[in-house]
Amino acid sequence: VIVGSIARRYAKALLEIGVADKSTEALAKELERVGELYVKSRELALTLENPIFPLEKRRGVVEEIARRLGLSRILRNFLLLVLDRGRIGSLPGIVREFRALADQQAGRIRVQVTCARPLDPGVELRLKSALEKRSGKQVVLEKHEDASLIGGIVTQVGDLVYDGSVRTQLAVLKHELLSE
Amino acid sequence: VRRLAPLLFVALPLAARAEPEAEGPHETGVESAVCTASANDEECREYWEHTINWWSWDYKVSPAQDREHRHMPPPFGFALINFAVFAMIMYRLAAQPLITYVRTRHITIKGDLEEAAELKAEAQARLTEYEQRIAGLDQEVAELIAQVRAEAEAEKARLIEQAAEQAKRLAADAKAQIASELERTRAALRREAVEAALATAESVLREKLSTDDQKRLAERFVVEMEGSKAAGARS
Repeated sequence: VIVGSIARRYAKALLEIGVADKSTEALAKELERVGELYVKSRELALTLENPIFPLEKRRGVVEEIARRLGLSRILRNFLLLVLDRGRIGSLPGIVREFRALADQQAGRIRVQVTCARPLDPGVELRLKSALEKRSGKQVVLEKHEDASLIGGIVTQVGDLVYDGSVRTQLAVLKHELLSE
Repeated sequence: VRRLAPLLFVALPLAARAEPEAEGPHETGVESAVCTASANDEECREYWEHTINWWSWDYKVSPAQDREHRHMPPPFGFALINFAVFAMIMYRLAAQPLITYVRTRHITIKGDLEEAAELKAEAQARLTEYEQRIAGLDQEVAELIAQVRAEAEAEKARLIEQAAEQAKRLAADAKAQIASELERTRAALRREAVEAALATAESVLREKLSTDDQKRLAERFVVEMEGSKAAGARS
């Protein structure tokens, strides 16, 4: 709870800056890239979180990352601030919270779409449209693959799950047959 | 003392009467045996065998003794006095404890006899009672046998009834158990059949589901999402 609260405070601060600078979407994309890099590179996370390394060295690492990724000055300064405050370990949480706040700000929802095989682009478009029509908001599809579904699609909007997978249909069929 | 007195009264005159015989030539009043200084030894022995020496102490047997005194017995009068004195001492010393002992013994024996008599009477009474019982024993045994038979018959009837009820209950239980087992077996079979059928279906679907099928499934899902209700929604 405390970690989540801290991440939310930093994310909210960054969002206010982004709104003021009208660069929320750009900041969101940059932050996603940095967050992805941080999660994927275990060595990077350990280096930035470990107080054995001098702060100046770690700041240098952050600046180098910002330079290579072509990050904006705002995000670079934000990352340095987080590092200085010893909260770099909360970066994945900050990314998550910022994304939620930015989506909320833009009137957008994220929908987790899971299917056994990659979706046909036409079907994906229709699904996105159907979800936008149902929710009344702009929808961002986050696609995942899970072969255990066998076939069909599972979508999750917040806590609500729409399950059209073959696996679930078989399970329902089994339940019905056994409960007769 | 009172009991010994008559004895003394009898003994003393006799002694007094016999005294002169000890002094003079000795002779029996019955036969001609006389023991004098001139009598031979055999005559003196015979004489003293029939004569009592009451008071004379001159009776020592020795070759120096006078012939007439040679076979004389000890004085019997003094022996009587000696006995009387002894009896009196014994009476003084031992009579009372002896009397007490004898009286106690008498009472004890009397009590024992009375107790024995009571026991005997009691035994006699029991004997009489047993004899009466034995006399009526056949009748009692017959009644007892009849009673036991009646009770056994009643118990038999009860046991038969109880066994019948138990058998009925066991049959009902067995039926219920069989029905339960059947139902359980049926359910297990159904479950196995369903699981096998679904496993086969899943295997076939995994193997045979083509890209077109996937596309059709996805489209159907999209159609449902586009419709008024979404199938399989859960939260």
